[in-house]
Amino acid sequence: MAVPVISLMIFLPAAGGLAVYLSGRLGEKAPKYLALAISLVEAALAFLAYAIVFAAEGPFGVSSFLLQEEYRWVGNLVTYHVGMDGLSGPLVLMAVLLTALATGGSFFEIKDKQPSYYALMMFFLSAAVGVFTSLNLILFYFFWEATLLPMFFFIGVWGGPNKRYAAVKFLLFTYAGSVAMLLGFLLVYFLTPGATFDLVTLLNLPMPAWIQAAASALTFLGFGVKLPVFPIHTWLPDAHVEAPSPISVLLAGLLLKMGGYGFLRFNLELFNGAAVQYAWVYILIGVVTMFYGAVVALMQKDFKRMVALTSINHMGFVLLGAFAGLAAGSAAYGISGAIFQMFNHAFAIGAMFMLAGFVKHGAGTRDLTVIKGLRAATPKMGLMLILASLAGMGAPIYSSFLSEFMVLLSGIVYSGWLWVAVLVPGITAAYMLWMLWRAVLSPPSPGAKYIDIGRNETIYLALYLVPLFILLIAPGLLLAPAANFARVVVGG
Amino acid sequence: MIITVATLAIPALILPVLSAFGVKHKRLPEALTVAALFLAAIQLPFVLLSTAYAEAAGGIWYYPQNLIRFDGISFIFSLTVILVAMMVAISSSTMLEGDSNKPVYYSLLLFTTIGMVLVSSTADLIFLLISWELMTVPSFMLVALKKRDSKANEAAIKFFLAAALSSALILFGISLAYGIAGSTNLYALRDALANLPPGGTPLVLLTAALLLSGFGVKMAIAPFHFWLPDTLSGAYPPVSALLAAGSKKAGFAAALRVTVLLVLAGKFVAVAPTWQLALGIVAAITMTWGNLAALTQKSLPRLLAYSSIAQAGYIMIGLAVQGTAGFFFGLLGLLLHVLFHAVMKGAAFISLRNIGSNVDDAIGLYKKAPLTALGFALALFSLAGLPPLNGFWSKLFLFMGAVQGDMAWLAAVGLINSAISLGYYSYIAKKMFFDDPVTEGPGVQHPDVLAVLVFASLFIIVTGLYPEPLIRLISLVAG
Repeated sequence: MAVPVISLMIFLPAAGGLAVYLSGRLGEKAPKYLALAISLVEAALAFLAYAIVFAAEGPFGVSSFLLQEEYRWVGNLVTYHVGMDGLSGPLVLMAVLLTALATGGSFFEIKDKQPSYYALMMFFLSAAVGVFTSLNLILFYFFWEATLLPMFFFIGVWGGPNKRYAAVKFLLFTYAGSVAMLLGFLLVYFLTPGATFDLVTLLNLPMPAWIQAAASALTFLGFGVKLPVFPIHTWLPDAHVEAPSPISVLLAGLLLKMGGYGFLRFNLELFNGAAVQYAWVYILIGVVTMFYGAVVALMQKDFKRMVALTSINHMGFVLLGAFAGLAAGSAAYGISGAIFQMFNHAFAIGAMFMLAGFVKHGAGTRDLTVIKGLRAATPKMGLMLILASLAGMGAPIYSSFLSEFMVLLSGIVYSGWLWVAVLVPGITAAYMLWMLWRAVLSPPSPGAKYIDIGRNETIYLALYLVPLFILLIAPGLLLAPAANFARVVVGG
Repeated sequence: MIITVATLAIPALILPVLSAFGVKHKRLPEALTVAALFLAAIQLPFVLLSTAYAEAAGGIWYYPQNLIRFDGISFIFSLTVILVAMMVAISSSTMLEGDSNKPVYYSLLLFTTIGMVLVSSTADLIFLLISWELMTVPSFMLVALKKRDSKANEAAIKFFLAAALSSALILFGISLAYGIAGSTNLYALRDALANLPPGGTPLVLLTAALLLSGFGVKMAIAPFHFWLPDTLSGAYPPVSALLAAGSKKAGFAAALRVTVLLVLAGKFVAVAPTWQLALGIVAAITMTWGNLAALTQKSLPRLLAYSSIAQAGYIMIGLAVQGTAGFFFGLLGLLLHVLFHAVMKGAAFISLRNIGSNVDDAIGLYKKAPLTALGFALALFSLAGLPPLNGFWSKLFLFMGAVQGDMAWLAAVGLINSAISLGYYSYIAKKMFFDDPVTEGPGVQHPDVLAVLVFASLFIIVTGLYPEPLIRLISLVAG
């Protein structure tokens, strides 16, 4: 491949971030338009990369790392080695599209310190693409950690009233998880015969069972904090509630997916033996997380906190689908369903988080017991709330229905007892519908002054839902590469 | 080497004389000091090359006679301490405005730098002790420079007592070493150790322990760290930077020179696991103690002092893995961390001149003095080992050394400690960036401090993104 597409995708926003910061001198509006332009170019690159992956991986292709680039970076120890396969392809596309959406969404909400904000957004994008494409463990760790500082400042500077606490808690939780992950990587380096950090080499090396078990337990801490799984999830509701809406979109859409990607890439693919052996542990944690997220969301009064807990609930599906798929040999719908679920969740929950911001702005509060009659008082916002909630609960008019169905099916194939997991979408639908009934469809309270969203906001929100429609009609666009990845994992 | 010492010594001698004769130029002392340090720094590669050239034929090349052997490790340490001295010299420029002691301050700074360079390149134990005193004695006076301030006096007295203990321990160690080898030359000692009958090991261990404890006072490893927080919180911030970033490193240089010998001497193998375990435990205690104590501090210099105790614990990993399979990564990590930590900690202490000494002085700093806040935050996050900053790489190599040397538990302790340390670093960052300032108006922004901070920030980011050239250099010279 002559054009280094992945490197362009990593370095364009990194260099662009500096330009965005400096463009603040040109005028107040320059940074945001420049950032949007960069993220749209990035989106075009991501489509190109995805097309290449899709063409090669297609329905009958064999999953391998495409678009590979490898350069010496820190000796032979840490090489700059990037590539894409059926797992990273969809996730990179998701990351880039969502960042473009979040950049656009920031136009509505972010009013101060714009040059720094949009510059940090670009640095974050660069690191996120790096995480999904790294094929060297230390390079992966490097990008993984490089996402922390931008997010720390996003929450701490542009966040809500309790932002300081939330930012510090976020940083400490995720860093504590990361150092455990790093120790796992070091064990892999020293205890496998290859003495290498290179993922492609490691995937082809036999790895003793106890190292797999030890390393996957350690990396589990790193990915589990990000995903997040019960009981190391407590940073998430605080961080989401305090962050501005576009940053919540990035948190839920990208940062959580890094955890999911880490599970699939390392705990599932690299430590395959341990994954088969201990699949029941991951499945148990996944199911507990699903129930926890759903039941706690049921009790929330704050709309945004409810959405945040829905994220926890949905990410439990990813864990369940991936490991049940592996253990039961139902990879075609378990593992690819997990990847599909990550993609769908990103867009569905993104729309919900943006709406949380609009509701706060339009109604002055996010308290679901106070807000009444949004459908009547603010028709556009009410309509979008209904449409987005349907995506959030997995109604069969969006692809999120498909992915949840695939995951639940693979769970039942693994063990008949897992039919209980079917209750989770039920609870999710219940609290979403209850929210609609309480706040949207109820008669408006007299005297309350609500401001509706404009046409721009409505179109903007619809953009989140378009991919979910398309993928309902043509799920193969995403499932074909994902299924190839699943086949490789189960076969190898 | 003599020329290098002279380059530093001549200005050091001239400066007080000039002031005595009434030559009063405002910026003369610092200009002369920085120029001398710069000239000395550019000589270092040539000194190293001359050693390499002379030793290519075989044997050990001392110059001057039996006293100094300037090898790759000396090169890295000398470069580090000269770099720190330059940062200190530049950032003290506006601090002593109008102070009649200014020429003396710079003269003392140069003398202590000479001491540090000599400590890191000595080949003889007596000469080591003399260099050690040359390094230490001027720094007493630097600490006590605020002579009417009772805290500075307390700081100096504590420092003096600790240093006296250190010298006594070293001297005792040297006398035992002389008993073993019949010579104070380090390489003669090495040969004597190799020829030692097996029964002599306890004496060797005692010698090594005494020497290491003596150096340990300066390195501030537990339990010899007690003086550091008091001393660093009493002195001027640049002087604290010199102590924490410079002379601590010289302590490591001395420790490295002595312990490397012990490892090289074959007789040591029998007790090596115990010795490594002992050093590993000391490292673990030092970093944990330092980090836990730093969590509770309300004074910035004390917090940074405890943080530098913790960092000494990380560097100790490099000493603990000597003689194991993890030696290469351990030594690489040690040298890299010495250099990186010197810049980070130096920058952190120096920026206190613009901040103040209380943790609450940092509140809202970004709004009052953005450059200082950014530079300080970069130094802190790099100390915590967050990529893409350079502290990540040196810690990575140290931990790799620990895992490879069958001390994965030590790497685990180190990693947990990194997570703990981020607690207090992010707490300060929170105060600087997220809280609103309590006082109106812009903060103090000394231009000389900002210049040093800009340099340090660039160094931290550039070597964080692309550490390869430095790593190659270190592997080459220390190989």
